[in-house]
Amino acid sequence: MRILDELEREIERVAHAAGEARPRRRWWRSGALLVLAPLLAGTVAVAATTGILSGEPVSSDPHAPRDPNAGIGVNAGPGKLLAVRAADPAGGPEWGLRLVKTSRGLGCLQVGRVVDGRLGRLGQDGAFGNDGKFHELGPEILETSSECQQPDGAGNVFFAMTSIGQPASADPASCAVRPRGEDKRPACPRGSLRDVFYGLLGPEAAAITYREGGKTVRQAVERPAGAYLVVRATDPDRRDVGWWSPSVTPSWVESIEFRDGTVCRPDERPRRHGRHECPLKGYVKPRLDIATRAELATPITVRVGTAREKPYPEMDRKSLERMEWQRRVTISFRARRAADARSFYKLTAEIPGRPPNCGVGLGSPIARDIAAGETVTETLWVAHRCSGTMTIRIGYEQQTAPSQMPFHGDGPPNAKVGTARVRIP
Amino acid sequence: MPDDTTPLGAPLTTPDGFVALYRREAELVLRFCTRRVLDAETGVDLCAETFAQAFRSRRSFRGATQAEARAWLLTIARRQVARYLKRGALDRRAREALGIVTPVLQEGEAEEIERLAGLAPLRAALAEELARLGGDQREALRLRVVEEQPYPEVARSLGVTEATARARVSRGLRTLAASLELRWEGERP
Repeated sequence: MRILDELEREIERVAHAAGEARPRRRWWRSGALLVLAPLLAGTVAVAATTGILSGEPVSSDPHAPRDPNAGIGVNAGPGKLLAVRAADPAGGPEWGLRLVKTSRGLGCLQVGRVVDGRLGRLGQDGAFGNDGKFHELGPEILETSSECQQPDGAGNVFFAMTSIGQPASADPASCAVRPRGEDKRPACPRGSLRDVFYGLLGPEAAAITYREGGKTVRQAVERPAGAYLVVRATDPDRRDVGWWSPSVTPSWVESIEFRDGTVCRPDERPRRHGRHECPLKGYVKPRLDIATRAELATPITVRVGTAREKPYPEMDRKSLERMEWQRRVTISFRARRAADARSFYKLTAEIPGRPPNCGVGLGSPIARDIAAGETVTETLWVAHRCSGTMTIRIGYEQQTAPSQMPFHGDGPPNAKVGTARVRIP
Repeated sequence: MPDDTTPLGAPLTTPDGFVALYRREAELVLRFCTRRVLDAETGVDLCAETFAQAFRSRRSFRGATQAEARAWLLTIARRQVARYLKRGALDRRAREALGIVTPVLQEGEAEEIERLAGLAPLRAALAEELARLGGDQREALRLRVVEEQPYPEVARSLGVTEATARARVSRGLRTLAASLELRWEGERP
């Protein structure tokens, strides 16, 4: 069928341009570790109460520095190690959580093993060369935005994470959960995989109940954040392992009990965006000065490049060779309202049509702090062979309720900044 | 059609693996979506968005067989359809993020897709089932689904509260879905 053939060409183009998706690599897994290891050997210490040796702390990736004013930002302070703990099915240090606030006001949850009041990871399952030591996890190690959430108006964070098949070392990338040919990491022993459920249900939550071993278990949450943490051995026959899913309601629980005596059973709740969600009791809607179009409207300037470029030097050579020549489109506008992590600009660009003129649809939040009056400049890349009229829309989104992940709004922006149309030759 | 154990071959994280998935399942996904929205053009949009979303989350697919890949894909398609039916708007985020262009139907192609999806008998069945619904629910469905009126408007037209209007639409859709489930048995997806 012609239409499916055309779509196939698009899928092929995108798939080949993206190349092979590989698991995240850690810089310290490569030769850098070999260089640093002798220098760090002298830092080994013995924990006071557990007797477990301490190795070097977990390091952040120096090749991916975080910007304090963009994305989730960087940690603002040491964070708070929460009191909630869960035993590991195989024994050893308990699991714990730390809530870290970031420079952009988000709340992020770190999960790990706790030794002497410190959160960290264990040198097992391929992590840290299986050295058997404890490696402290600093509050600055914020690896993905999926661990973070916008706080409510009172500063409370509502968050629920389900992680299925996580290595017991608490290092998600230490070993291959589902080994594949191209993965050079050691396979995770099935017996050392854990299902880890954790989150924050807010100040009004009292407890969760869930099924375990044919019985209903009740866990009182830690107040005032409403923290819970459950760790189980992953079913050895389970096949869909090695994934995690952030949300605001733990849909796996049987019920959430609240301080006012009410109970929410997620299974009985209607689905919202494909998930069963309980009401966020105690959520204080952030006070935002909602922008109007009149306050935001501003002209958008678009400069269409003529040169043929390949803009992604970090791509592997093979994928770069396969990649089509690209054209640079530079968009700029004056931001009349300031932007932060909760109120941000959003850009979409579209060239309608189909081959040979090829349509384009692009869209992303401009997730960084912007001062009022600042000129914002963004660059888009479109295939050089594409032509047609490009429509660029800039919107302004103000989040008064948490989305599944930061900056992932569920709908269009609440106010328009402007629209521009340019001819791509 | 693969049986439960036909291995996947190249993993979906490779370009070849993902393109092979598209080639195996595109027609099925198109048929799946079109049958559920009763419209060829919307079916194409939902099919394209399904593959775009599948591509973006291909690293999360953990199955090893073609049957598992198909089930995973249909789960994504099912969510797409549900979201579309709930909001009445097409989701284009994954395509926009990837820069995927959705092909436009040419003359005669809508009819071809409708034949592929078996829409004619399905529409007849729908009309029949719709006629069986109570007058209140039928009218609520007509206003909300056919005329795409917002709930406050539906409520005003029916002279009921918005909550009642929502309940009537919801109950009507559930009844229709249940009736059509029975009819479709054996000929899914």
